[in-house]
Amino acid sequence: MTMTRMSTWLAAGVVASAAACAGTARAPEAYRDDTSKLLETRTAQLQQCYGDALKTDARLSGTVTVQFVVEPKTGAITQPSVDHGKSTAPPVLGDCVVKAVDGLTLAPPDRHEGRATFVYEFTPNPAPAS
Amino acid sequence: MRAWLWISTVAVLGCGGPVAFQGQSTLPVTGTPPPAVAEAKPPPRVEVRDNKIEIHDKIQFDYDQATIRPESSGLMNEIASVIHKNPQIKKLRIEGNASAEGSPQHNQKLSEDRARSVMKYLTEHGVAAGELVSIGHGADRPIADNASEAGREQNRRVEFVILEQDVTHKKVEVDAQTGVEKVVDENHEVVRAADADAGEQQAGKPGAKSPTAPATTARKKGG
Repeated sequence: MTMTRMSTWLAAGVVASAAACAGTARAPEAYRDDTSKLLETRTAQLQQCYGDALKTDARLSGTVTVQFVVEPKTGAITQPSVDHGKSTAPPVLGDCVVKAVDGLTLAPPDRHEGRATFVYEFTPNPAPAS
Repeated sequence: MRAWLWISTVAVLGCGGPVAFQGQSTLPVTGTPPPAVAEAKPPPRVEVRDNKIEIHDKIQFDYDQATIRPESSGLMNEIASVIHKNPQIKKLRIEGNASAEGSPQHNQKLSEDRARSVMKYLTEHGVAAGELVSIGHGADRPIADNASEAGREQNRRVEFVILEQDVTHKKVEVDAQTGVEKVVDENHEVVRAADADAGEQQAGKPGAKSPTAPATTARKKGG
């Protein structure tokens, strides 16, 4: 490979790299905060799910540690799963979380894949007087 | 081909790998449980109704005896408690009733003995003896058909009739603007049952006989 040819390929590589990396690149803290704000948009849905669960057992509470992937380019949250080893809440509340976060989309998407871990804490309000 | 692979590798490496991060704090989720359903209170077993203390249960006695069975202690204590909580009751008649099973004389005696036994229990549990009298009606006052065992079981019973009680009459005016009630007139009177002086046995006088009681003390199974 001649010097000229090698330079050409390197230039092509840089251009390709630049194209592949186009888009927002958040710092980890910003990625976390933006994702956290995104999760908060599902608080009402979670409360609804929790309220329904409390109808069967008014004492349900605990923490749910959820992990998921934020897809690069699309910002879609995928592969949500409960880390049962780090959760204290019963599975029904883990299901609430998985359903709530699945399908959310971070906007704008980040050029990097995000691998997130969040902890939800479920606490029942005092039962209203009948 | 090899060249494009190289370009892609450069592109990916230049873009960097995944970013791992954790939530800074726990995300709180609160939920409101459904309203606690108040436990339905069972209806009272013993209650004051007009001129009676009604018991929605039965005082159990030993078979053909006047001995109150231990399982009725709770009920008896409840009756004593209701009497204590209703100081307006000044005089109470305990009425024993029997089924038609057995001879009339025996049933008369058994009903008197059972009424007296209840009276004794109550006086031993703090009810003033002067407030109580007892009487036995034998099988004269059935409330169900004596032809069946179920009916006879209903007929074997003890009733409590209030002979005297204080009644307070209040005349109240309600302020139309404030809704506050004001007692403008109040008076008390002692209401006596029409048959308050019917034949009866006074507490503390076990030897007294009901006028309706037969002279015989012969005991046969029945009641």
